[in-house]
Amino acid sequence: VTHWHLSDRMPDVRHGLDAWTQADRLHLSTCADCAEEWRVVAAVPIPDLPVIGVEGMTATVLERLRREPKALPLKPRTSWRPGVIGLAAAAVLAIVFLLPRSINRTPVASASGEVPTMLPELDGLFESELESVLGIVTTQEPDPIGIVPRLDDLTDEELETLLEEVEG
Amino acid sequence: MTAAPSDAELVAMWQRGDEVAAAEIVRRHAPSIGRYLTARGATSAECDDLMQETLFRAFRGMATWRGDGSLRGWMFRIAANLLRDRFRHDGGRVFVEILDDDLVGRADPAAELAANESALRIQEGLATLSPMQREVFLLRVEQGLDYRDVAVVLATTEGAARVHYHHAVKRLRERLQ
Repeated sequence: VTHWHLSDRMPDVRHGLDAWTQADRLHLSTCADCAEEWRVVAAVPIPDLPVIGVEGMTATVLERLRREPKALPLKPRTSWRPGVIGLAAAAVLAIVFLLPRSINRTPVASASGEVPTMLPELDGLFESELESVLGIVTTQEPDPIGIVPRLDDLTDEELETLLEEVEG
Repeated sequence: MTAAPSDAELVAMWQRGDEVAAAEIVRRHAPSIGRYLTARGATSAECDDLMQETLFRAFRGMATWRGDGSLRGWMFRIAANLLRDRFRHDGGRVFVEILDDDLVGRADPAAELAANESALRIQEGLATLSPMQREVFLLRVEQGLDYRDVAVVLATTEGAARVHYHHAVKRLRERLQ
């Protein structure tokens, strides 16, 4: 018989589920520690078990289970989760669609190394395509500044001609 | 004569739709849950509500009972959480009261007086314990749970439960001297 052996059994003895043997009683009469612990345990009142209407309680619980079968989530969804999921999805889409473009296409830069344009349409062009566009642009004659005629500058004949063209 | 089915067997039977098994689970464990709730200060009406809620949640979440602790300890834990939520919602505290009816009735007036005096000293001593020491001691002695179930109910380890119990007994012994 050891202290721990007796200590572990004290609650069961107090509840009437176990009983002291002769050897246990002898130990309790000679060991002050065990005797004092048993005195504490024995002094704790044990409330009676309440009488439960098992059939009624079971029926009530089972009826509730039929009415509310879904299990509650262990943790409620927090409001930030959908936003985070949306952002993550957007980031994935951006990576999937934009990354190949940036890898396959050589970015266009001017001779000086500066960013040539803010137009995204031009950024997506190959160098050869951009050369073609530049060629078209540079072959056009620039409008001479200050020689755009105003109506007051036209002669009567020119005005007549213009009116005929406009009015058909 | 066949042995009574274990709790694990009853749970498996219930999960296959056996309502008789459900009734047996209620018969086995509802009384001790009711005693626990009452001992922790729940009124009779609160006890009925909390017991029904405990059983309802236990049956609905039965699949989450892993069987590494006893079914009783797991259900006590549900009851303890509900009780804590109830008292927190009410802004109250859980007092452990020992009513006159709980005190030992004996034919020997001297023995009765001594027992009642010891019980009152225990009650006073319980109030001086830390909440964890008090809860471990009462679950162990008053409710008769073993250390493993005490650990399950209080979400701690079996070793920690033993230490809390040891400290509680030490302080209560001083009260009785």
